[in-house]
Amino acid sequence: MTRPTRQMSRLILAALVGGVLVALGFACSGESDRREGSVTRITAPEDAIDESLMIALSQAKNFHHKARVYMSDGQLPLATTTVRQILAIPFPAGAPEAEDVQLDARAMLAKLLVAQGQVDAAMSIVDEGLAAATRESFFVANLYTVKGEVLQAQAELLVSTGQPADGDRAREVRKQAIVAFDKSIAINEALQKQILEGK
Amino acid sequence: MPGPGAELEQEQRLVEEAQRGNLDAMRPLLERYAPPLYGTVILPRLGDAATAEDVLRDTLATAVEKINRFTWQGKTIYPWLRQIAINKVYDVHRASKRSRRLADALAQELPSETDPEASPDAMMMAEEERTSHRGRIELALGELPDRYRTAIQLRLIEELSREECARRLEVTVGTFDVLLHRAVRAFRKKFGDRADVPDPRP
Amino acid sequence: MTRDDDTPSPMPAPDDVADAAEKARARAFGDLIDKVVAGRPPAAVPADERALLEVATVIRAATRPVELGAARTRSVVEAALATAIERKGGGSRLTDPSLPVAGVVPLARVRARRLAPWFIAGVTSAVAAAAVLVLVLRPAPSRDVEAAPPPVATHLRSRPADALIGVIARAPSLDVAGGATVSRIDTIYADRLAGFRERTLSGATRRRGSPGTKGGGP
Repeated sequence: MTRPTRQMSRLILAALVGGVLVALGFACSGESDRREGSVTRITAPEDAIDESLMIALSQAKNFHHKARVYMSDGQLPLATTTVRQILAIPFPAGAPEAEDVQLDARAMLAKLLVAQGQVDAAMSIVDEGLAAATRESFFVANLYTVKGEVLQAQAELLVSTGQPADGDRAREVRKQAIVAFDKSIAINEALQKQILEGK
Repeated sequence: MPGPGAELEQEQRLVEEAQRGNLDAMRPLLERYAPPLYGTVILPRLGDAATAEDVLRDTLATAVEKINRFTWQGKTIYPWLRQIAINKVYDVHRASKRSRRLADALAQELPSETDPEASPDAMMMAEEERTSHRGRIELALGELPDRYRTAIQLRLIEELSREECARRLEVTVGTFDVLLHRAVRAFRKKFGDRADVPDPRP
Repeated sequence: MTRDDDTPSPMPAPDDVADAAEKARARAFGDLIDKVVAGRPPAAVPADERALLEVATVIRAATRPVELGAARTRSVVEAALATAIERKGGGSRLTDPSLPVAGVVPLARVRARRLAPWFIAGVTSAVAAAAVLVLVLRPAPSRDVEAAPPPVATHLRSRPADALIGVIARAPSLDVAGGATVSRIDTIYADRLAGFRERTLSGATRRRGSPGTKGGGP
């Protein structure tokens, strides 16, 4: 398998070059050690709150407020479009707030879609969000709750056809809804316990 | 060869078996959907074959690991896999400041959200996606000067040799090389400029 | 960093005369495209040309079928299955309630772990090389360098919003859900803004070991 070997060679080369550059940085900063800041720049945490995070959060806030105005006006399609834009905001890579905000947006988006009868679309939004989640959070728990609601809506649609087969299927879907609600409860309980115990 | 209905039933059985704990049941599904995920979802958004393969591997691993979060809705699992792949592509772009501009351009140009009304058949969906990519690329190419557009068309799309391209454009090979280089630079710049255009999608 | 199109400098017109440097770059790019078209993507690409090569690959991938190949497909699938089974077999960190909320590693770092042995080998070599250079080129390190800066306070860091938001109650209606969602994003934004302001207005002072010192510069 040559491709992984080339990839690893590139990584090692990058590490060596990086190591030499860091060394030169230390070497050349001899005089500037007395300047406050040279050590800090090297050791500044990557996860400090920075401008790019604030810009992304600000955009999310604006879109949510805008959607709220549309909802108050009864314009659900416009509210849906607006909330969907939150999912395209470029958050800084790895920022935990990104996942939280996007999961919250997905929950809202799914509810809007269900309100407009687009139940399948709502389920896709929910499933995609749960698949992308990297940790269990209150936002993931909330999305499971919304998943349960979407499944309930699906069950109602099936029952409304009046077909016996659909009625059977509706029963199965309701069971899935209960599983989703239970999952939400379990996540919330576990997280609350962790937070109360101070992690 | 099983019909589409039988194939979907088989897919559902395999997914449910994986959800019961036999993750190996996912193998046939991954082997079926890896090529279109790579060719129509990941590589067109990344542009680098090695990274695309890494992202594909990561996508499939995540799908297997999180198969219990998937809800069967009578449609293929492909849209769900596709969305995982797209999320991972964007993670790669966001982590790389260098490619962020291209990433933003792609975010505008190529669909990220899976259309819930999309074809239930995965291969048709992949073909629709490729057609959609091609349309967007052609739209961007259409905004380039004629000679740039022709250079890209002949070399990158029709894969004619440098010599043949030079002959058709009535220039030397060296001049054609310069033309192609400028053409790709112009395309990249054009694509980047289009990132500033508001997202027309609903 | 490329010399390329991240700058606002005007693009040359198609028929402008190219200088020797541009011709050389164009020839090198042409050679790279030869390899890509032949199905042999180059392993090492100069940084200047990597972005353009990616664009060229995107154009090709969008306009013609791209094959992964049966052997590569099998290899990728096997590797993916092995990774997933290893992750799940090691105990799902996502459902283990004993794990702290903030302790989960982002996906980018999970990926990096797979390459850890090679990366560790590379970094070890780099650290050894760095140590030699430091010893050769520098006088005895000053006290400032030896003293580790204190960790950055939690409220100044990007972090999960769980502790701030708490359990999200189920909303009885769409309207209530909308209001609650707005309230949550407002809360997160306000909290992070406070941290951002503190961090930027106070400068880097609080990240160093010497309280009361002013910002950098001679």
